[in-house]
Amino acid sequence: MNNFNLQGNNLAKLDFVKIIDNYKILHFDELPILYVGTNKFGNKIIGSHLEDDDDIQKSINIHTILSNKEFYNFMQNKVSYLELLKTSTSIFIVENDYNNIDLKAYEFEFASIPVEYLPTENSFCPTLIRESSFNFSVILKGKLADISKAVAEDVSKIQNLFTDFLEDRIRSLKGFNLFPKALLQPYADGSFKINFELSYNQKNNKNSNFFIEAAPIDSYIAEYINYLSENFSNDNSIFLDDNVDFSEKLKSLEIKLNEVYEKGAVAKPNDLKKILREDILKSANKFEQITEQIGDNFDSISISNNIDKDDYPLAFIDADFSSKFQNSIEKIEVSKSNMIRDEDFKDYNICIYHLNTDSRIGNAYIRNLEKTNEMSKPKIIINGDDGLDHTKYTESLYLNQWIDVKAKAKRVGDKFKLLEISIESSK
Amino acid sequence: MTFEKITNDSECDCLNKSSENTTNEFIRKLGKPLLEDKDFVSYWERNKRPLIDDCKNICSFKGISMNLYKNEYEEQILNKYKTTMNINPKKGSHYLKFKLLQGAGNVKHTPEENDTSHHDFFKSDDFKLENITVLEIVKFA
Repeated sequence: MNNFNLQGNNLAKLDFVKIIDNYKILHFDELPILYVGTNKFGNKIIGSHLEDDDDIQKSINIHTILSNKEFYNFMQNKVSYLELLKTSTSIFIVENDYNNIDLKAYEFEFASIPVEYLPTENSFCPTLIRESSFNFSVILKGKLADISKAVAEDVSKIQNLFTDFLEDRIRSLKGFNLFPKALLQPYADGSFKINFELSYNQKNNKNSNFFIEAAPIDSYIAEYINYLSENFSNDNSIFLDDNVDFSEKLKSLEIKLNEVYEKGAVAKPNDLKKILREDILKSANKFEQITEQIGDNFDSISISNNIDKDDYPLAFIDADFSSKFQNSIEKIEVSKSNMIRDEDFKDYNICIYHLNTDSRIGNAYIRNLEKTNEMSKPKIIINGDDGLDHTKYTESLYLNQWIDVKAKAKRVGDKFKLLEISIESSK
Repeated sequence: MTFEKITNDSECDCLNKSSENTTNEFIRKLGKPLLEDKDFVSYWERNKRPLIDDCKNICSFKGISMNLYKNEYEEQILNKYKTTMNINPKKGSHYLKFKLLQGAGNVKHTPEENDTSHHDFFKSDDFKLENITVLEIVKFA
C-alpha cells in the first residue's frame, strides 16, 4: 500500500491530466519511469511512475502540467524534476489499473508528497540519444496563439526570417556548393506551430559529392540554434575580441562543423574558427529580428527540431530573452563599428513602418545626415510605459506620416542604426 | 527445464535465442537492501500488462530484468540505476550481484537504449530463490 492519502484530495478531470499525444519516454527502467506528452488540450505534461500496489492491482503516477518555458528549461537541464514539482501549481496523482486504464486523478500539493517519493536534487533530464533532422518548428504561444490563431503579417515575417536563417546555414558551408530550399509544411495546433523542412540540392549534379549525405548538417544546424539561444549572450566577449578563446559550447559547435566537413569529404577552410565566428554574428542579427516579433499577439516563441512526432526543444524566446539578446547584439555592434552615439536627446524626423506596440520596438525611415536623398531604416525603441495606441507613433505607422521625435541616435558614419525615442518629450 | 508459465498464455516466442547461463555474473536492482521472493516475481506474474502489447513488451514483462556484470558496462548500468533513483528514490539504491544455478531458467540478451548489457531472465517453472548464488548486495547511491 502506498503512503499517499488520496481519498482526502479533490478529484481532477482525467481529460486534463491524461497524456493522449506526443508520448515520449525520457527514462526507462523496466517500466517508463519518466515521460512527457500532451493532453487533450495540447498542454505539455511530464509524468513519472511512483508505485505499484499488487494488493489492489493499481499503479500511481505523478503528472504535472508544464508551461513551454518549464518544459524547455527541464529538457535543457536548467532545472531538475524536483524543482519543477516544487514550483508547480498543477500536480496530479493519476491512478491506473494493471491494464493501463486510467481510473482517477487527484489534485495534489507538493508539500503533501511523502518525502520518500520525492525526486532528488539531481533529478535532471536523462541524456537522450537523439538524432537530428531537417524538420524544424517555430511555435508561438500565448495570447492569440493560445486559441491556435495568428496574425498573418506576424506569421509571414517569422516564416521569412526563419527561412532565411535556415537557408543561410547551408549557404555558409563553404565548398559544399549546395542550393538550400526551406519548405513550409501545414500549420499545426500547439499553440500556433509553423513547420519547416529544409532541403538542399547540389549545384553540380554531374560531379555529385556522394558523401554529403553522411555530413551531419542537420545536427550542426540544431546545435547552432541551441547555441544562439543558450550561450551567445553569455559568450559576448568572444565576439568583441578575436583573440578571446572559444567557450566550451562554442568549441563543441566548432567540432560539429569540423565533422560536417570531414564526413562530407569537403576540404575544410583554414580559418574555420574565424568563419564560424563571423557566421554566428551574421545570423545573430537575423535571430534578433525573430526575437523582436514577440509582443502584441503572442508571448513566446519555441524553436524545435523534429523527428517523427518528437519535438526536441532548441530555443525558447520570451520578452526577457529577447531583451538580453538584443543588448548583446548592440554591445557587439557598438564595439565593432565605431558607432557614434548621441549623448542627449535630439530632434529627428521619422516615418515608422513597423512597430510592436507591446515590446515598443520597431523600425522607421529616416534621412541620412549628409546624403539626405538616401535613407536609413534604423531600429526604434520607444521609452516609457504608457500605451502606444492613439499616439503619433501609431498614426505614423498606419497613415505613413512623418513625425518629429526626440531621440538618442546611434550611427555608423552617415547611417542610423538605432533611435531610442523619448515618449515624454515628444507627445 | 520446463517454461509453461512463460509460454502458456501468449503466442510470443519469448524463449527464442535464450539459453541457460551459469557462468556469468548478473546484477539486478533491489527495492530494499535485502533479497526477497518478490524481487524475482515478473510483472506478468503480478498481472501487470504492458501499455503496448506486442511480443517485445510482453516478453519483457514475462522476464526479469537484469544486467550482465562486466567492468566495461558498470558505468552505464549504474548511470541508469542512479537516474531511476534520482527520479523516484523508492525504486531503490541497492543492487544484487548473483549467478544463476543450473535449472534456474534461460537468459536472453535484450539491449536497450543506454543499456547495452540488459538481459531478460526467463525463470523455469520450478524456479526458487535457492536457484541463484548471491554474491553481494551493493549500495550504489
